[in-house]
Amino acid sequence: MVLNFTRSVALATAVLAGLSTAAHAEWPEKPIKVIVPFKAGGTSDQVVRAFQAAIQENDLLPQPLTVVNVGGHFSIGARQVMEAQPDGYTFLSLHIALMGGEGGGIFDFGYRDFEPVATTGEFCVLPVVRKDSGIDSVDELLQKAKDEPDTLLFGANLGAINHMGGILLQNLVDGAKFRFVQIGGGTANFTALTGNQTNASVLSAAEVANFTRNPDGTEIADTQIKPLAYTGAERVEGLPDVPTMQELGYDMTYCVQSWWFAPKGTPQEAIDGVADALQKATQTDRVKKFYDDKMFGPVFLRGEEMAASLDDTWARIEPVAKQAAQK
Amino acid sequence: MIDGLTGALLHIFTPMPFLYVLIGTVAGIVVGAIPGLSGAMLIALTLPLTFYMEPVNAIVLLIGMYVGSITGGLITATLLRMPGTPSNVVTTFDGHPMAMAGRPGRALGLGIAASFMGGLVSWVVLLFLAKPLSIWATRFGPFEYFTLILMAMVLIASVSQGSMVKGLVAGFLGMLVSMPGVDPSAGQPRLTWDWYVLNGGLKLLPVLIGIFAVSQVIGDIVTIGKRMERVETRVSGMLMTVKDWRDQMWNMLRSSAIGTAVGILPGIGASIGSIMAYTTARNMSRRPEEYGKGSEEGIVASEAANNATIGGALIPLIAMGIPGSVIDAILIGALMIHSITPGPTLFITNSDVVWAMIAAALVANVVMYVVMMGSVRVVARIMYVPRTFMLPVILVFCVIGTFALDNTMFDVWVMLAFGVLGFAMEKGGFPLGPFVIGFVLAPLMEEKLRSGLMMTAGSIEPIFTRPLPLIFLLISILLLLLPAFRAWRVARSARRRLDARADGASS
Amino acid sequence: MVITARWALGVSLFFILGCLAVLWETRDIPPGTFEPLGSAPVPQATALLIIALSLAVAARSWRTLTGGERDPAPEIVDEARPLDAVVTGVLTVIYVAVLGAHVLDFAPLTALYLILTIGYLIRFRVRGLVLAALVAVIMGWGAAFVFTRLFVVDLPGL
Repeated sequence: MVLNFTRSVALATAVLAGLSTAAHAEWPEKPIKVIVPFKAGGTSDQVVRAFQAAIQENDLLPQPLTVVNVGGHFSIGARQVMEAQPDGYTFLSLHIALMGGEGGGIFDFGYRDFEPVATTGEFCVLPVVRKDSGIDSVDELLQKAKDEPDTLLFGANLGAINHMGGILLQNLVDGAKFRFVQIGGGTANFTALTGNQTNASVLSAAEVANFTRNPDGTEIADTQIKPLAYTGAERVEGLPDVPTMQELGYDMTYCVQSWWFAPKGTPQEAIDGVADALQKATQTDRVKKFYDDKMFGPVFLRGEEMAASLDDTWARIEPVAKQAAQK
Repeated sequence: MIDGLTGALLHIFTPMPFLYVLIGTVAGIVVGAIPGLSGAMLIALTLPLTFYMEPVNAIVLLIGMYVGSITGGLITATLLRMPGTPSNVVTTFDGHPMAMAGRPGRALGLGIAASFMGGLVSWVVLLFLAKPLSIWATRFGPFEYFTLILMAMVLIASVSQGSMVKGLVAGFLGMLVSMPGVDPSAGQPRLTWDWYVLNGGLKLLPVLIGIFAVSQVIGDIVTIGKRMERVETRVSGMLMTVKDWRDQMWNMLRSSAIGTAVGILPGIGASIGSIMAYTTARNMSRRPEEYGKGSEEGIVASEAANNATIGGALIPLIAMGIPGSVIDAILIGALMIHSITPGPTLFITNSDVVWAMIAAALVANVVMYVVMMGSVRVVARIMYVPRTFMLPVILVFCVIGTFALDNTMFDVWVMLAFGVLGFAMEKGGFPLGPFVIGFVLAPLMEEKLRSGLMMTAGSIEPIFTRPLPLIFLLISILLLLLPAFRAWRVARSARRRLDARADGASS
Repeated sequence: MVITARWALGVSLFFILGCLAVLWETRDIPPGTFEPLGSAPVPQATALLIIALSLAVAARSWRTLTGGERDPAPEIVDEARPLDAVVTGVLTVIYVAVLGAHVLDFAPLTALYLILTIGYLIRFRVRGLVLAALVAVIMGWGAAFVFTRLFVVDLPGL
């Protein structure tokens, strides 16, 4: 009896094992879940949904991609994926916040706990100030932050992307110091700047264009803010008159890339399958249009290239994240 | 302006857009009315569907849902004392007592008419004053917000029924429960007991669904054996008479104005609007003692204000691209999917969409009124569905609705736990209203205060030197003193009467 | 009155314990660097206020329970059926736990839960059971359809 039982367990295990290898052989045999660890509607969500639509419309995957929004703090959704079955049906889409959180000690896991799948597009930011601030360049902004340290109010979401951007900026000049104020994301900072509550912040290229430019590229007459520089490697198409930080002589690029991850141990064919589909999707009109609208740079990385780029970003961001977390 | 509006209205009355407004509004009402399901969930889930629609159709569908869900929540708030959405919490205070007293039709009729009126008032403001008002709203700094929220917090004391001490305990407990998670003012986790799922804190909807819907279900199950005293129900009195309109007009307008103003301010939503309108109405009423026992004015104030916040919240969205509420943030996402970015230039780049939004807000409001009035007779019968069937079904809805919102089972457990807590609090005589108000307001209040302190390097001076914070602070103090003053006056007049009688007896 | 006081006593003691746990958890939150408050004082102050107020509530309830302030009227015999709530609660907890454990699909599990719960509440009367089964099937598969087909979300379960 006991023997019988053990044998049947062994048998069942063997069958299950066989099933699972069979499943791998035919990946994908059911819909693939992509977890977006933010609420529906935000930028991260829009990126994933643009790719989802492009993949669906062009039949780039034999099974649909379903987007699952996990709200609350983004570490919850990320953790769910980290602990999910590595069966090739669960993926994560996240950005530099993952490194900010790990570096700042908010949670104790990081990008190394996932399999990198692909990097799809990036947006870079622009330091912005009020038009009537008397500050006309990055030089003047940083000079003022140095001459009167801790007085310029810099609106940020503490510990998040724009906060790290502000720290990178003030680190460019010894002794320069902003006073960081918890305001929130891009729109909230635009509001605070417009209402003359803060003096500076960083906004994404799409936000700057949306808040300051007419559709034909001219400046909106009653806008209260102006961008000083662009933190990408090259000037952004929609804002041709804004210089890059490097042109101005500062060694600073700060771009936020969309990363796709899988749980550790996910079969290589699933990772490659999704990466292939994403790569093909970047050539579709839907994604191209989306990149244009959001002023995304069309970077695409996978495999070793992506892993190296992640390590590189981590080396730059970890100290900044520590500074942002006040440690 | 007239061209744009009439054009959009004409467009909405073509078959497809109208169908979408109708579907949206009806779906919103149904989902809003089912305890456990909420408008925010419906709209978030619908977002991916709008992907393949015309932009105008997508936006009118979502606006219909927005209007429908806030109004639909009033049905179950009134009939079952389970608010369908956070903004209907205040409606339960008076709507349910009135329904239990055998006048559910009247309670619903008043709520629906007030909702309609609130929607209309805020719509007119949206139409004429969008630009200047949203620029005004950007000047609202942290100290303005802090004192405004402080003012709303003080109202906790005045909305609590029964024991004042228990009301305060409930209010502070709500505040405390809102605090675990990553603290936005520092980016650091706190009160998480090193448990990562608590990084996101305890979210509003699971807590709210638990504390109101689930606790009510538990309470109803316990008393299922009791023979329900079959109250005589009259659905009559649904349509407001001319006299009703005359009596309630001032209250409606004032509550709508408060709702609109609160709606314009980014980040604070419909629940605060209805609390503020309700308490203002009570403080200005000639019959404040009726509040909490089925006051008509109370229902009107709460429902006019929460619907008015919809139009109010659309104002900064349309004029500046700033979302005025959580649902507006989802609307922005819906527009972005169609390559439409709300911002100061929205009127130039996509005027058809802007006018469609404005027109949809009006049309959805009218559709809401017609649908609700037409179905009240049927809907009021919910009260007679056997509880043995209804309660388990409601529990399933609560589970699905809570899970679907953010896709975590943790939220479902939170909901169940708060159901038990809510039941125990009710049994112990702790009012639930202050709990929710504290829960909603505390995080904002703390964040704004600390943002303000970051700006001034630790000084609270602006509260006293800037006009708006000072006004809000003074009103808060006044509101705090008002009940005490009232009590003192009542006591004094009672003493005088007593003295007079004693004098009469001695002479 | 006595029943309320008993509950109030229990609930306020529970609050006090919870607040003590909160105070313990806030002990090593670092002070703020961008502003003087930091993350700890607000929860601490709130917890202390709750403790103070809860003590007052507990004391008052204790007096009601022990003191001579008995209601003149005899306690009305409660027709309440607390057992029903307990059974429903246990069934619900099992339902949610099984959903979270991914061992059974959403639709059949929900149907099963509804049949059992409604069935128990109506004491398994045969006529009612037929209706309950109908409701269960509609809710189970209907909700599964609406949520997975119409809205493309993942329901818990398998």
